[in-house]
Amino acid sequence: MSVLLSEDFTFIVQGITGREAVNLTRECLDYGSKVVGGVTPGRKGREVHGVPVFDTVEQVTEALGYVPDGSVVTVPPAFTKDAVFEAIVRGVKLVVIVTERIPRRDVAEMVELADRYGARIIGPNCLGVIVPEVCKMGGIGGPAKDAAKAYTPGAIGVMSRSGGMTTEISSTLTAAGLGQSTAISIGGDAIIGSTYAELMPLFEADEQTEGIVIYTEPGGRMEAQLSEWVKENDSRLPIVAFMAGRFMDSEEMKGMSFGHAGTIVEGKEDTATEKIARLEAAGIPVVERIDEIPDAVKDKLGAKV
Amino acid sequence: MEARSKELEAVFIEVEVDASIATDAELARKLAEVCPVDIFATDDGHVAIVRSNLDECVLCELCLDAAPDGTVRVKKLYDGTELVR
Repeated sequence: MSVLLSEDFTFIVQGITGREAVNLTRECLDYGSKVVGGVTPGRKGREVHGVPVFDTVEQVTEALGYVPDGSVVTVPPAFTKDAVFEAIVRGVKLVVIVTERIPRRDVAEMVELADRYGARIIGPNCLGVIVPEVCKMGGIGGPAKDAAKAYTPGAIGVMSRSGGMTTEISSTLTAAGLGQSTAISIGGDAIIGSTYAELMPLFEADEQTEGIVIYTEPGGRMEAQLSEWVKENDSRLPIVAFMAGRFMDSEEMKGMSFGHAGTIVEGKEDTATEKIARLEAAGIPVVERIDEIPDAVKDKLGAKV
Repeated sequence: MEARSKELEAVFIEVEVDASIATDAELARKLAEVCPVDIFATDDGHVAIVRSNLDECVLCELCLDAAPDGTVRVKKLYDGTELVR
């Protein structure tokens, strides 16, 4: 078992002829993922690494005779909303949005539409989802041979606001003998399709998953929502968190930019210090260094038994 | 300023096209179509290299797939290796 993806999962790549997409497609194919089509308006009839290209999602579904399970969207920001709407309206149930710098209003509308159609969005500004040795949807982990080194099958679910840190944390777990059930790069923007708390029920229902590791940053309310969810739902899964950007709370660093768009600290509740306090109050230990994660996970798993 | 821009072109990537395909109009069109970063263009039926785009190469190898074996070489100037079929 795993969450979101499975061995038979099929997906398309919207914007497949673009500079990022051509390599992402090859990486996914090399990993064994079932990339069954691509879309770039005006490019019907082409192939990208053997994947047929169409003008629209409708043409893909007609050619396939079925609706693919998912879509990786990697089109320019101004066109992302149209691409995502097209996929969702055509029945695609999982949309991974790689594109960054999408206007917030567009993202809010995409999330609303996904909700109405029973679809799920991961991202924007994310690297995708991976189930080790089963399926890779997006650029997560990089080339297949590198992804195979960093990600190994196991019992730990990983969720991260940073794409790169999804791999870094998973690689650290792998080196310590802790494989992953599913790793999800949830995206670094202020508004995203699926937060920690919204993904927790999937991991909770997944028999393979025995623990969770999250990568967090200052800014936003996602950690507060996770803390509330854990307390309200009596989660069976022990969670360990790694918080980056603690330095932003110091007087000298206040107001400093920290990477992702979602790290804008708008109030006291958004600070690293406040988030750590909330997470720890919910029984989620927050480690200071990445190399402390495996031992913290083992402690929590041991305590559970 | 223009001279300086030219100096900075193709710092990392060089693409060579064999003379045997340089005048193949159909292949020129195909190479221009498959390259995601517009390194190839058609020039009066000839294969043209857009030098200002060379360093945009993402090493996707789609040009190598499109051309006959051995006729397109993507040289990685930063490590001395090259991609060729």
